[in-house]
Amino acid sequence: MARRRKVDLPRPELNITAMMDLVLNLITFFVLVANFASETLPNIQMPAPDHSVAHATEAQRRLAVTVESDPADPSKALRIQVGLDKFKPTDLKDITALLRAQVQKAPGLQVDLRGDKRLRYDQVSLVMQAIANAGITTINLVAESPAQ
Amino acid sequence: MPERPDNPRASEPTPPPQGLPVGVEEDLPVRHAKPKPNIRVPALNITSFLDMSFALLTMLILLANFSVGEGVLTANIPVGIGGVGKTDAVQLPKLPITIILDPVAGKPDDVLIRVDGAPFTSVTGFTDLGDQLARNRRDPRLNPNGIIPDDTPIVIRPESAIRWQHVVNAFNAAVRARYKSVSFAQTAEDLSGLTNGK
Repeated sequence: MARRRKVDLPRPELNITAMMDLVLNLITFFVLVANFASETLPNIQMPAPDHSVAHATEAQRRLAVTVESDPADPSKALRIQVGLDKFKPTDLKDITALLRAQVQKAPGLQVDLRGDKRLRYDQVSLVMQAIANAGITTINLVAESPAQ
Repeated sequence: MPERPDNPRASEPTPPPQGLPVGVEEDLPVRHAKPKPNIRVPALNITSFLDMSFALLTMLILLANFSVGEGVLTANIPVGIGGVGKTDAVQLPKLPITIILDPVAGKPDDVLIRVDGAPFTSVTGFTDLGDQLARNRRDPRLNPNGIIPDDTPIVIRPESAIRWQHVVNAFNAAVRARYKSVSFAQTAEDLSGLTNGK
């Protein structure tokens, strides 16, 4: 019986170089974007009301104002962040000026007030007053949504 | 490690054909055994791909922000000195319902709830506050006997030392009871703070 000659087949390989390039590009992009997103929304202890009716908002023009508490004394404000800009709790006039400029640039801008739940009311009410002085009379109080 | 030949016999000398004296070779075609091809199992080297995937996975796990879902409660805020968007006080009804939040002596995290201008005064908690507000809200279809119109302004008046959690809780109770106008009272501290440029 004649023996069939076996052909030495080339080893199959998949060139994934282009895919790796693309993956690296995507990773870089997402890391950059994720950093920006988390910078505007600092992690704080959110108020969790009983039977919360807090709802998601569809507003396009929104600006987050976050009042962070001092780790040494959580009842006191440590920092106020408006968008990406950070202020001391005493810089209320600067906050008002910034918000006024933002409202002039984008009329209909909505402000989401994110306050740490351990803060004293007087620490947050001054920020609310600063927001009001910028011509904004309606704000969104951010709280845990009922699904949580 | 020395490489093993594919066919060990291929390198051995071919024995002379039988039937001929030694030393005499017949000019016959000699069949040499062909070497076996070295068949390799097809494999895909995905080592670097897996390294990349694990690095990506680790990065995402570390960067993941396990934050709770956030929602918003729309509120009217007090307007201070020089405020541009001042509310016209004339448009407000004369008798709002005021929810007063007082601190408990020695317990900074606790709160006492008082209600002024409502047919109920004793409130045991924020759930009870929301229930009582809802029970007394007039609804032409669902609760025609309710005595509080839903456009009655609800004003939250917390003391300075009250935690923000309780303030939001009181606000949420009023919104949950479906009142249309819920706002905050302006405190003396607000005015003095802005006047002093704090």
